Amino acid sequence: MSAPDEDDPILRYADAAAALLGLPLPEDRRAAVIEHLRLAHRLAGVVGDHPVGASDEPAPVFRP
Amino acid sequence: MTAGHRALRADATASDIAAAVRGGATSAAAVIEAALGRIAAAQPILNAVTAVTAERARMRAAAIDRAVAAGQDPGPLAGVPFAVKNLFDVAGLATLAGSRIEADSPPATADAPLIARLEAAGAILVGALGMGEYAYDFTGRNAHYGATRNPHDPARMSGGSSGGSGSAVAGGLVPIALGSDTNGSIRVPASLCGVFGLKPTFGRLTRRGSFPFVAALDHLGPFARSVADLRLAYDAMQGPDPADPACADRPVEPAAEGDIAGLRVAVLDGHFHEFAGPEARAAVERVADALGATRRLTLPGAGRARAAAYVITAAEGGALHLDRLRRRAEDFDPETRDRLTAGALVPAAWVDRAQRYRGVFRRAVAAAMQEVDVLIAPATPCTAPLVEQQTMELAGATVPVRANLGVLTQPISFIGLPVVAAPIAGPGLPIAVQIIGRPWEEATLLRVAAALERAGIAAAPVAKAFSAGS
Repeated sequence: MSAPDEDDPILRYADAAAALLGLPLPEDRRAAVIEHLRLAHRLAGVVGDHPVGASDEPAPVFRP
Repeated sequence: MTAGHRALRADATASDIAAAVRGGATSAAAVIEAALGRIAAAQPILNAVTAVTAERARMRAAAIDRAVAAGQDPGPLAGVPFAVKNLFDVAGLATLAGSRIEADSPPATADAPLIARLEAAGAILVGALGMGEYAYDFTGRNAHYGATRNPHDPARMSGGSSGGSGSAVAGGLVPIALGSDTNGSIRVPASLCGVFGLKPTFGRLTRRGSFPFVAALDHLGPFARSVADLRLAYDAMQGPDPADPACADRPVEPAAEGDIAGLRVAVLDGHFHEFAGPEARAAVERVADALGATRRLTLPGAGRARAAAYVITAAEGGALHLDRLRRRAEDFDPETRDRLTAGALVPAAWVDRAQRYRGVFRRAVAAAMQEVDVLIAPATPCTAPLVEQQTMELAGATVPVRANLGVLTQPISFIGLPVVAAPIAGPGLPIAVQIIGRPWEEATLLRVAAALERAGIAAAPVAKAFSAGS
């Protein structure tokens, strides 16, 4: 397996976000976590391709 | 054979058992001893059960028998043994949710309301069932407690994450089990194990007293080997719960029997055809033929809905377990831990967009369902893979089994529609179809499933290897 491209934005993002959240990301798990994050990124792109309007609420409207 | 003898068999339905107990043809005590015996015999093969509540069950059975002797009616599920996925609170047991970490939690102090409601109807809890860790699973695998196995072929997956529930019902251990379904975790094991499963409308059944996974998507529901039993369990569990903010304030709406004349049924194509293998497509065609459904319907955006469900699940699951991932990462099942860790890193913008897409998709499906009453789709792309199988062929690509067994269920639970998973009778390994309806129309779906059952199209026999004594 080739060495990861450490300039890859998703690697840098994952390392920074994990550090910020206090999540351990040891070397033996890092590749698997990145793989899952890449899948989420790809699927988020599928969702993001669809336009949403101002009336498309992210969740039911809170009513006091 | 007498009704009393029939009630003790592995293939006895809840209806058989309750009728025999209420009528005095057998005792609840005898029914429970028979169920405990089957559980003990099957456990080395199926690994479906993580705790047996024998003492409690015997006490409860004695109370039921005393009530019958006193001329009282213990209820429509009198003496019926049932078991629950181990994310339900059971008084006196730690709520494991398939994890090692929760084994260190104090025991639950009360039963989940759905357990209490089933017992109020006369049913008797006999145990807790295995599941994928924290319900993030479609396979039934579990690194801590071992995989739950498929009674039709123990070398194969039960499906998950309610794997023990599907396995226990298909193996004849109990006629009714409870599970949870966030993205397909009732419907996938129902399909692979060949039993009926009901994922009710989001908000129909209280989730209080269950270990959560994704608050936006979690549902609880029953498994059974007959539609009548599914209906009995569902009706007993309905009703509002002011203590659960996600539970709708709806009255009990009994799922009345009836015919299906005049129902407009369509078969879902597009995403639901593209990601279905040959067995799944054949099952759908059998159902379509039986129901006279010639219409095909495409739900635009179904693939996008599945993608959005994935993103929400990852992010909510990761957020829920953030503290555990910080403190006890090494105590997770590795297959779960790395997905949850990635989920915890998902940016809010992705989640926001996915949540907003829920409304878009919900409106699109609601519009489509103005012209049809019921939708039919496969429940899983294929029959049960081998337990250790990591990849499968899907739509011309090799994909991971764990994330993709739910590719056909995720778009539906994403918008909370009710679904009955109905196993289609056949000589090979089981597979089910999804019978999908409008919100709050579970009764319609149960009527369709019952019509398929009467026609011999849908059936959930006890797996042959476990039907001895049947």
